[in-house]
Formats: sequence, structure tokens, C-alpha cells
Amino acid sequence: MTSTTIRQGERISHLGRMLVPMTRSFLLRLPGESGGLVWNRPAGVRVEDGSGTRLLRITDPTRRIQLGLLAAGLATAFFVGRARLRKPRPRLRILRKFL
Amino acid sequence: MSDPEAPEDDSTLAARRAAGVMERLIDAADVSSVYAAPIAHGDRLLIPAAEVLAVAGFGMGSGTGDLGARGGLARRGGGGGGGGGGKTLARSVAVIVSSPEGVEVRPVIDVTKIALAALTAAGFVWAAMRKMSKT
Repeated sequence: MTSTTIRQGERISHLGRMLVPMTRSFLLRLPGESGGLVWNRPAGVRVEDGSGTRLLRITDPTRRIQLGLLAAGLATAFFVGRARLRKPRPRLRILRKFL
Repeated sequence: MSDPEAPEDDSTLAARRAAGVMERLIDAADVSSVYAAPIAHGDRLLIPAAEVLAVAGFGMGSGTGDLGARGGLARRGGGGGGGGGGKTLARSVAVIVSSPEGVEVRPVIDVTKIALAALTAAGFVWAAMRKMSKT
């Protein structure tokens, strides 16, 4: 069973504004209560002040760069592998010499 | 009527421990595990935020056997066991800064993780090129 929940933390008051931290948690429960996984990460902070309410999203640049590098590495390896398949085989080159 | 002082059965104890582990695992989904207590520094307020990953797994089993009677004695046996493990990982993601100028989110960049990812990606490319040069 899996579930994703957005939760709000306690309101924090500072300099006349209210900050409400928010999280996004993913919960995976294995059947028979035999274990599970919880992935809890910050989603953003809601700021309430005189000008209104706005949500500041929290991004994870480390994760983005990591995934970007791994995707680039895999893509490069894939295209290098394809180029290898297109390269004429040495056996054919030898045959061409005799033809 | 059951005696509350009586020693617990092994399976009951194991089930209770497993339930305790599950409770602690679910506690990791709480907001307080992601955001630390706010830190006041002058007129600024800092709220550190982290990503938390908690994993746990456990299992148990038991069985009995009956080999029949030998020499007039019944040969029976039984046993049980269980085991489990878990891990919690946490990593700083950002710091929320509230100051007289406004509220901003400052990301935390983990250079070690990025360097490891770069090395892994370079490893993929190197392996593919090496394979290519062999043919």
C-alpha cells in the first residue's frame, strides 16, 4: 500500500508574518506489516503577511544535478554503443581487400 | 483470565516489536522530522529543512515437525525465528531565511554527492568507449 501526503507543520511567527512549513511524504507499507519505506521531504513554506499569502517552493538542486549527470552519462553511453554497432566490422574490411 | 505478570509468548513479543518498529517508521513521516527548530540570529530566523528516508523490513517464521514414535518415545520438534533491519538517511536540502527584507529559500548543495554522480556518469561513458575501442 502506498500513499503520498502533504502535511503542514506548526505556524511560526516572525516579524509580523506567519511561516507554515509544508512537507510531502511518501509511505510504502509492505503487506502483513512486515516493513515499509517513508520518504519525507520539504515541499515549501507558506508565507502569510500583510500583502497576502504565497507559497515558496523548496527545490532540491543536488538531486536535480545528480539525476541530470546520471541521465547524461547513460545517454552518452547509449549513443556510443549505437555508434559501435554502426561501425563496419573488421571482418568486412578484410573481405573488401580481397574483392 | 490471563496473568499480566506471565512471560510473553515469543511470537507476541516479536509482533509487538514489529509494531513498534512500524510506529517509529511512520514517525519519520512527521513534519518535525523534516524541519528543525527555528534558529534566531539577530533579526533573522533560520529554519533548516532536510529530506528523510527511512526503510525497515522484518520477518519471522516458525514450524513444527513430527517424526513419529521411536523406541516408545514421540519425536517432535519445533522452532521459530525472525529478523529485521532498517536504516534512516537524512540530508540537508534548504534553509528558509526570514529577515526584515523578506522570506527566501536558500538551497543546500551537496558537492560530494554531485562529484560521485559525475564520476558514475564518467564511468558509464568510459565503459562504453572502452567496449567500442575493443571491436
